[in-house]
Amino acid sequence: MQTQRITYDDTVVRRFIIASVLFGLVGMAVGVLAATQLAWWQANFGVRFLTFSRIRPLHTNAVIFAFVGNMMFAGIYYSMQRLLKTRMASDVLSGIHFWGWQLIIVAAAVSLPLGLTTSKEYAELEWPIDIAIALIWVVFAINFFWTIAKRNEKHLYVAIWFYISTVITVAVLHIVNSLALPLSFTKSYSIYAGVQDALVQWWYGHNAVAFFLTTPILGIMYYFLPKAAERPVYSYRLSVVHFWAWCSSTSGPGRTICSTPPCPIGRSRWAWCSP
Amino acid sequence: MSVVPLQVFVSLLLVASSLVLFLFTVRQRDLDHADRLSLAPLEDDVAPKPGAAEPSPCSGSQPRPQSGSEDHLPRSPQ
Repeated sequence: MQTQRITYDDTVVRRFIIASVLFGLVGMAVGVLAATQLAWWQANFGVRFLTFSRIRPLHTNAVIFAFVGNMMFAGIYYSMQRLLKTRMASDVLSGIHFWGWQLIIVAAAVSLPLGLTTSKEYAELEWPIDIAIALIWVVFAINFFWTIAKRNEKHLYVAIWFYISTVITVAVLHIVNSLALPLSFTKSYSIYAGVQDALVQWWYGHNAVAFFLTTPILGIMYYFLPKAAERPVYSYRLSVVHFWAWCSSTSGPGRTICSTPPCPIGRSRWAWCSP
Repeated sequence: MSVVPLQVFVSLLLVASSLVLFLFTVRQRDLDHADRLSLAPLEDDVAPKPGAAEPSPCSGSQPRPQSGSEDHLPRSPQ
């Protein structure tokens, strides 16, 4: 019997892990500074770039998109190659994804302390960076679905389904919430107004937590937990039910978080019965 | 701009996508292979040993990779 050797691309995995650790340290250090300012405002040292209003979004963006984001990409690239028994479809696209994502993080780290912000929480970055995020995400999606198309394993393990939902949903969330009218290169206004802007923003905010911070991590958990425990999940069928239940119950219009902005459909109607 | 038509459209798009994917997994009969799929994370890939003189007997005559782990997949004769 002949065998086919598959060499997995672990270089991109290592890069994402290193970036995750580095940006994690930076993001958490900025968080400590922001927390210090809550108790002792003089910790901004009188420097406008270090005021709470500027470093708080820097902290959240760094931790969410740089620390967790890079770690999530590392987990996806590592596990999907092994679950699909194939190398990533394109090393070039993997490289563009890695370096493009790091450039976006650097652009955020420069623009947020400068006070360039849309003022939408977790979506503060201005329109040129938003466009870059969309393009890099498309590069990731092409590489991801191309790899699935050339897989050597016909049936998809449940972790891959979690990754698929992440790739699709985050793209939709980011593009819809970031629609804006540019006033200049560094300033834009949302195309939505008032309550409608709040509704879209927290539809994004809620589902960004669900589909960027949680869904891919669940997929990674379904790969690494059995590996660490050296036994399969207790019930694979239950994990599939978990996936479809998660997708159908989580992707609402951000009902829980709609109770915080001035949104009339928030607390009174939906908030208490939402996931 | 009224957001309701846009959100309804996007929501229906996501519902349609999930239905397509659900039908795909049903047609693939993924659940019929649940027992085998549940073992997928436990399959270890074979890490290349730096400085090893001989390639693994089942690895053919291709050069040893410089980086990354490797796996071997049975290939049916052409």
